[in-house]
Amino acid sequence: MDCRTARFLLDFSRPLTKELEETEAEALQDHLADCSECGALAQAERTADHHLGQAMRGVPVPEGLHERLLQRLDAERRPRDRRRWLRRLAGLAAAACLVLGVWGLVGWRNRPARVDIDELASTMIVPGVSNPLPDGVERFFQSRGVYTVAPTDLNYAQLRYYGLVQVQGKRVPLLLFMHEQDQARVYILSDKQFNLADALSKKQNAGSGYRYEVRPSPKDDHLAYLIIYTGDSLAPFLSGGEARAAR
Amino acid sequence: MGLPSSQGMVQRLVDEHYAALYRYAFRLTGSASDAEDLTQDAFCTAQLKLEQLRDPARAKAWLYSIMRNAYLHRLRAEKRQHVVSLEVLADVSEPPPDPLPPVDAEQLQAALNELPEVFRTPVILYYFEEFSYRDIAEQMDLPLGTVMSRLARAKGYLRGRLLQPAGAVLAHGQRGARDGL
Repeated sequence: MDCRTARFLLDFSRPLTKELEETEAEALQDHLADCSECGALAQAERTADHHLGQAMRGVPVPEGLHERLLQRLDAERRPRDRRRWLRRLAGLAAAACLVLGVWGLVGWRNRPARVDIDELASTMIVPGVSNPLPDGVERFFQSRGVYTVAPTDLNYAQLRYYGLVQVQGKRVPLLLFMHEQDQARVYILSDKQFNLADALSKKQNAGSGYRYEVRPSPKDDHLAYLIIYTGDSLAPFLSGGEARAAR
Repeated sequence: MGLPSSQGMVQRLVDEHYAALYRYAFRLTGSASDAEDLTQDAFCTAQLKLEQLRDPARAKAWLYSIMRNAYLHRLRAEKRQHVVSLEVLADVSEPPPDPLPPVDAEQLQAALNELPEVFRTPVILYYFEEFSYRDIAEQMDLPLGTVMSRLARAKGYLRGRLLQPAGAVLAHGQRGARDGL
């Protein structure tokens, strides 16, 4: 190897960025060992590069930067996640329709249910949650002509929406609870509209991406709660004592 | 419960690269507050476009590319002026002195700030050491020869400003207060 080639290849033979083929690198090293001028130049270049490189990298990182970054990323992610959860509502609504249809509720036992997702989505009422307690929810539904008893074993601090939705052509109260990235939809079913005996016979199950439970209302024998939820269990949605019992 | 996989991936990217990315941003902008803003913007973009990262081994190069694009976007908005004209940047012709003088941090950043971005970026990436000529060429979407030429001139300029005795001038002499872009 001649001096001109060696000096050209010098920049490609930095310690941390081996860009030369093995044979080229060996030839270069041999030349630098044999040629005092090129050897001295290589040494001076590497020393200067090392010197400037250290100065270049010598930037103090501000304290707390790591935490601030994670906080900003979290703040950016939450609104997008919320929009994604809202898009999942239609899917869970369809799942609720399928579940109720399979159970063969009154007058529809042997007929497959028609899932009208557009109708479900368009009839979703999303009022502001100003008094998210069971009695406040009950008064809301009563003001709309629907008598109901809201479940008391759920954590109402997680209640995000409540309203009347159309299920199989019937107006049904719906409560939506959210916990981190999971959600639980509670449909309050009446025996005047649905076959509760059949529904209660299938207390717990799981589908694709969701689970469900059916619980009788402790305060009214004519009502049952169909709870469709994501996540591994209902425990995170339960209020205090019930959550511990569920564990 | 663990983090969802994409959230975990973003956190890993932050954990592994935030410090180096901040230092790169600081060298690009010369300002701690601008560097922090740029670093946050870069990671937010990375979180938004995470599906573009097909090979985790390329994460660093990908993040640096995002950072540089964010920086160029700001430059265009700010219409920043540069002091040094491209013509005065000479190749390295003077051997570095022995012993080497200490490098003043403010002078280093001032010298970087004087370089047009097309010279500043490759020389910063070069001195962050883990970027090869080919990596730099890929980052900047330039031919290898162009990268080599710009690096040689930018290194020469920095050495002339920082490593030569006070009062020394570049091979081609004058600095002008002209826009180098």
